[in-house]
Amino acid sequence: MKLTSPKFNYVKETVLLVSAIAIICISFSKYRFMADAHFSEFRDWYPRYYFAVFILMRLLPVFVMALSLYLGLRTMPFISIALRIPAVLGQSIIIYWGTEYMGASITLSIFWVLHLAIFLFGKYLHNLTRTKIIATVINGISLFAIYILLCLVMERMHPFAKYTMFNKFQGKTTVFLLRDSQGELLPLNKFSKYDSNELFQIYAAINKQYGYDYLTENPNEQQEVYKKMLELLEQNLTMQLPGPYVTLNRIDFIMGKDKPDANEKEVARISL
Amino acid sequence: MKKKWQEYRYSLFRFEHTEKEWKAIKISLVVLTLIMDTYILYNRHSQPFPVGICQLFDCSSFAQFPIYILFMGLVVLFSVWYIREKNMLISTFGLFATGVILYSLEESNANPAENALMTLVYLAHFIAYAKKRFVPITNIANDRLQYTTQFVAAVYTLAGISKLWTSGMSWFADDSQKFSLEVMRIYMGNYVSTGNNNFLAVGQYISDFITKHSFINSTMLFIALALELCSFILVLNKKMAYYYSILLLIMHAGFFLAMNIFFPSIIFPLLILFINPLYHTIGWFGRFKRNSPYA
Repeated sequence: MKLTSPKFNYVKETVLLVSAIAIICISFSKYRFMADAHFSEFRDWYPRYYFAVFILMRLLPVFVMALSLYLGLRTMPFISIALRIPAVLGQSIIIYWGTEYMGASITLSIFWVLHLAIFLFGKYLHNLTRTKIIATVINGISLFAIYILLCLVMERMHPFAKYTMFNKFQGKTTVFLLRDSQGELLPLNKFSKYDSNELFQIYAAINKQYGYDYLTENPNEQQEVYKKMLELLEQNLTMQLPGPYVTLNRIDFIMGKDKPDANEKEVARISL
Repeated sequence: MKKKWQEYRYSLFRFEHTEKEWKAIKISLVVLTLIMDTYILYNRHSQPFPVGICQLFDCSSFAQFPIYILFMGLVVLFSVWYIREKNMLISTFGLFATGVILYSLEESNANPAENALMTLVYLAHFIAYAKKRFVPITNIANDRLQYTTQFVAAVYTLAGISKLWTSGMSWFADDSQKFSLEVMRIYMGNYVSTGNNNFLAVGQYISDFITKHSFINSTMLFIALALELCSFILVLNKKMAYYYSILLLIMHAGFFLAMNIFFPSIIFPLLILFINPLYHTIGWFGRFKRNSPYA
């Protein structure tokens, strides 16, 4: 199969050159530590302007390189949209995550190699996608494959998630409940906007926020967590709690010899 | 045999549907979206654990008066355009974007309920219409449903991959006894949430059953995992998607019976897209009206 070179595109090449120079300058400047920083680090460094700095230092280079790749693919008369958009998306992800986990220089090298490969072999790929069955298969499963890949690679960001619900059955499960001073159960749905499952999710989220492992249950750490839980609960009450006090209890279910064993204990108290 | 293979090849990834079917799907999806959006705006007025896009700005501001009125007005406008098949690129993207904000707000309240399908359906439609815009010969009547199916299949496949990745084969083998702990947790949770003692009795009965019949328990869990991992069958064609979605709905029914858990944001899109109850209900009434002596 005879390969022909595409026409030289001044816009594409200029954008590519400017983006490459910008990235090289950043890599050698005093701001190079930002080139592979995670989003949360920008929030720590620039509490007021983190969003703008993040866009400038991390997203803008990715966008510029993706744009240059898109323009480059468009100039080639033989690349179908079925390849073009996944290629640009995939490239953008490689650049963004690769910069963070592999370093800017390796990522840029990958970018140039992929760009060169598409440039040289684009016509062959184009002809391949023109084969009816290949085009049909690509159209039929590309979104399926891309979404799975993105969810596996990315952190939780709607609509990307790892769908971890019930993916592991723990040896211990926990339920939180409220009891009044007489020990009577106070139904959560009646007194608050939360149900039991949401209360447990809040417990897990607070532990994660503080960097604690709720499965190890360090007493000092747990007291801090329960205090925060009660604060959130009080902010979301729908009825006055009965006095003089209400206790937050937890029931732990552990696998016994033949059946689950339950163990209830008071973990915090709200005085009213 | 060759003819059968050719017929099968022709039907591969084919999801053609009539305009009436499409309209019934749109109406059903919009009703579901409006209900869930209203629920979130009514209940979530803060984001104590910001995740996703809510890390970039305060999503709960959309739930404050009077912004939520404007926000819902926008959602309604997009919905009307979407149902009337007007400005489809704007309406589908608008429904997707508003969904991302609201479900990110929901997740920022420590509720990890997997709501992605509620926004992915609109993203799929947006991609289909965008492709139609740039490649006019595209078969939109096929793509808008086929692309949605790909996302549905991906969600189930990811759930299966997550179980295999985290627990391996022990998910349905060695760890299956611990499934009874989850059952107890859920039913006890329902009891402490509602104060209804019946939940305790039912939970205890199911937990005892699981503990005593571990083979049945393991088999059921294995079937559930297999169904999730083989969800790519949904994308093969419309007929396969119909039958496979029935299997998935049976799986969800099993989870509901065993654990009293219900995922509306997964089950309803599945039902709407592949069973399309509104279309068949209207069709049934239409036949009734035609056959009625009073018609």
